[in-house]
Amino acid sequence: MRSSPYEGLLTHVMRMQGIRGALVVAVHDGLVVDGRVHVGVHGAAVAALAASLYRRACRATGDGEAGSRFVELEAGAGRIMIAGKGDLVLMAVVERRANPGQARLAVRRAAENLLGTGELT
Amino acid sequence: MVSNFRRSLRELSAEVATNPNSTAFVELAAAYRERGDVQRALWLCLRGLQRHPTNVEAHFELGCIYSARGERELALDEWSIVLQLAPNHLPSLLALTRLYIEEGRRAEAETQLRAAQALAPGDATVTELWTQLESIGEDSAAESQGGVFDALVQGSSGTLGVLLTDSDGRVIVGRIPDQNVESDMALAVNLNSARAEAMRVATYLRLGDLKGMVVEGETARLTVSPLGENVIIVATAADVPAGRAALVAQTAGEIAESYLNGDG
Repeated sequence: MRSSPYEGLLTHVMRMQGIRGALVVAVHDGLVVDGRVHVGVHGAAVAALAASLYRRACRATGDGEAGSRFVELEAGAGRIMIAGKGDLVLMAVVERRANPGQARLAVRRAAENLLGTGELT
Repeated sequence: MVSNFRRSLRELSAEVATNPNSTAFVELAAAYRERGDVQRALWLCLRGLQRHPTNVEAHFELGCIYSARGERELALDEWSIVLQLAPNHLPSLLALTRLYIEEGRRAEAETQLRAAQALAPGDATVTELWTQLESIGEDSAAESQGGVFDALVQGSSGTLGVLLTDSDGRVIVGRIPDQNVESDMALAVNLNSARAEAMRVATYLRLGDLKGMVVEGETARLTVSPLGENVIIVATAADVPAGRAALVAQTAGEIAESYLNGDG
């Protein structure tokens, strides 16, 4: 079975209660690099939409393309969190029952490790 | 190549219907757009581009259609594609200049306009756009300064500014100085596009109504909250705790509501 360098950090994020999916996405083209999603979540479509959202949000914060960013959208039944730096981001679909503070920390921490080996430090 | 001879809708429709390889779809789409049928124009153009993905005029027309639909970011993308395919495409340079002027993005507008001027030095539109460009600094400042949020901004350490915009990204009142974020109009338009994208994501994932969005960069945090049909954007320094930023956003919402109700 193929193993991905992002397996460790994705497993760590998905282990949290209330996380419906976690994806590593290439911002430039919206393609899924790796991911874990629950049944009913179409990873490729979510990644494409999230990458587009992230690109547009990045234009507003004027730190240049390479700066690190965190985007969170809150909706009635859950949240989307996207964190990353440069062209690679980690996004998570978070249910309402999840602890948002813990989810934020987990997503940010995982994103910090994206450009390294993918293992949590 | 643009022709002075304009064919009727019937002739164009017949040509597109009988010859799928024809590029008459561009002219037909433009005709529909000019008649206000932008949905049909969009469908025609997107379908035509599947067969002619590098057709410069088709990408230009698609940009015009998006612009007519108020989808500025998509229009910008299409006109940028045109300039990648044909760097000397004057209509795209002028269209981009207009779009940047409308958004208050002076530097970007100037870059496009200089390129247009090099191609057509005596062009009346170029001259007119220079006049518009020279006045946008004062106009945007005058339009966006309202003082409505001044007390909040001055009283909350680390708060950079507040903007109230309508659902199309037009600034109603407020100001965010541009040290850390884009110019007010560009910011409003970009965040409005991002909000529309966020709503699509939330709908796709059946997450319900969008309640708000936070974008954190290395120097600033933007809190975007819907306020009826309008949007309130609060910029705080990145080192302001998230909870405090949320409180400032809540207060800004209350002030904006009073302002819109005429109480302020």
